[in-house]
Amino acid sequence: MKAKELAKKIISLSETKDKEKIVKATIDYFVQKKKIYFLNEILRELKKIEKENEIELILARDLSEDFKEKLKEKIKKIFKKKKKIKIKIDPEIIAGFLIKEKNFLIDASIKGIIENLKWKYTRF
Amino acid sequence: MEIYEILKKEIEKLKTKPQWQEIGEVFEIKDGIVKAVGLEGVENFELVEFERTKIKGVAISLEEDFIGILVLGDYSKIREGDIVKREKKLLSFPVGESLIGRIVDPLGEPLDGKGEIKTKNKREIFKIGPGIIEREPIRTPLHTGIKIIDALLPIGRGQRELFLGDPETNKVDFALSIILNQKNEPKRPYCIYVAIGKRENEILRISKFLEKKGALEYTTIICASASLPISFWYLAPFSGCTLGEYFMFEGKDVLIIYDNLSQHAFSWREIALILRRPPSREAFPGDIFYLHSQLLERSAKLSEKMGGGSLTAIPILDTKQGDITGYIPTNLISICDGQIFFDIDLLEKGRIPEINLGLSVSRVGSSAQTEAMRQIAKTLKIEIAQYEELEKFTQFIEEIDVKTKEKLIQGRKILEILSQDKTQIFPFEKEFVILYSATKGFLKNIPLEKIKKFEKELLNFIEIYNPEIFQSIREKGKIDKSLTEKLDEIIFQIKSKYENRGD
Repeated sequence: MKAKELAKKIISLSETKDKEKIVKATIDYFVQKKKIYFLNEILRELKKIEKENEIELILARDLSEDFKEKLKEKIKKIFKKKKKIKIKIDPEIIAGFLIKEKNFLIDASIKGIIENLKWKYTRF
Repeated sequence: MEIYEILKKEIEKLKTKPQWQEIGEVFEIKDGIVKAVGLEGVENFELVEFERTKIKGVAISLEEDFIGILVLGDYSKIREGDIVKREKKLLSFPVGESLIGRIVDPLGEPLDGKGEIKTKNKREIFKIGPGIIEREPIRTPLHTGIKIIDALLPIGRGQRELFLGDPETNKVDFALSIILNQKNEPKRPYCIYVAIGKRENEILRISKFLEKKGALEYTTIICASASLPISFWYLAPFSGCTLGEYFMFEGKDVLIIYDNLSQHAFSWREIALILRRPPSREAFPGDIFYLHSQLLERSAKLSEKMGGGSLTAIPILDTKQGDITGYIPTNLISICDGQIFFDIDLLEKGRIPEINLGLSVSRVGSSAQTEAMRQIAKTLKIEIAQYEELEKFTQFIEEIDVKTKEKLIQGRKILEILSQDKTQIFPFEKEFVILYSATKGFLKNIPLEKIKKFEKELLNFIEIYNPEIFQSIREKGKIDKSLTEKLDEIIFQIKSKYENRGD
């Protein structure tokens, strides 16, 4: 079985069963088979899958919890799928926000607007 | 104050509404190739843009976990984690009359400092060639101005004729002289010269040469010099072909020279190896045949319904130590409608053009030859074949009988007549007259060393005193009885000056 398939299986199992038990059983199995190095690959795949199910919300500065919740709800409505929302603070974007998923980007930052303006006038 | 006002206006015009963008993220950068995750729904050969650096790229490998992007620019500026945006359009090349006389890179950006290229038309770079119904058999000749090619290995408009030979041979110079010869041709074809992986100063020399001879005004040079990234080498022939196709579908004739496809094959090998595609023979990827066949299949002669345009391709290929049985040479020989082999051994013997007639062939050109030339070519072919056979045979014999000796000398004289310098071009009518005199036995009493002088004087004489002969051959493409009589008389008159009676 490939690492990717194994990783998917572990995630699907973790939804119903005890997580600690799964981890222990997997490690025991690979120790027994003398294939510890395989764990690294599985871990990499797990990280990849986790990243795929994540939506990144980038803000210029920290906002109140109340406002954040409102934003999260709105994002969930747009993307519909159940995804984890991670908040990141990045003062470089000046103001506004960025919503980033694996395949999509919503750019509502001042930095984006200024970059566009810069591109328009420095091309020639 | 003014700048401030302009800036203010522009800022007011800016779209501040957040945009929904389809993106991916760079996770691996190799020489000229970037691997990215995301970009769901991206098409093969779709244009993408790296957001931070605004460098363009093209998606060329769609795989399960990642997308391989060919970077069309300086890839050293791209960093891991950069965002890649979908452009939702396929890679295309600007086309139009404004590209004529210009030097551009494979994306259509000017390199000659003559300003922006003003054209709105664009054509997708990767396309499939015209189908069977849209085509027509090749009938019109493309005069090259090289006697040996026009007589024995004729090229038709819409044909693909491979020029191959060692790097030291003059194949590029002769290919360029074909461009020069188109200057005074009826229904002049547009010429496109594609330079792949050549040195910058070499390209400069070629462009200056064409400009000096007045040929740049109907030629476009597509330049992917050795200093540009490998992606440009890969794209250059396709860009040139796209431009040629545009003119062809407009009903015009086009001549395109790919110089050279060895470098193009190397570039695709490099890209494929970085993308980890399984290497096959000589480490080339499995689709190396298709790479060239898709390119050369786009050359065609279109039917009258489609406008009757044509795209003639002359791919140039390097061989190693005269070996034409290498992987890429055999591929291209089988794709093209014939090949002209420039033999280094003949060059060393002093024959220019150093074309090896035994290994060269033109598969469709003879049906496009003018009637006048076809009649001469028949006799020429037989005489040369006889000469070459006899020459091999007589190498081992000391005493030769008179008849054989005569045949050998006649053969040598014909080869002398067929030779010409690399930048010298002969219009069709001049070629015809000189070859006519050779096949009708007029050279019999002229010594070998005086043949070139005789040729020169004959052509000058007709040009000055009887220009109507040239004009009639040029217009009709065949000769009648009265014309032959007149021609015979003139040739006889001039040859008597050069005859060596003591011989």
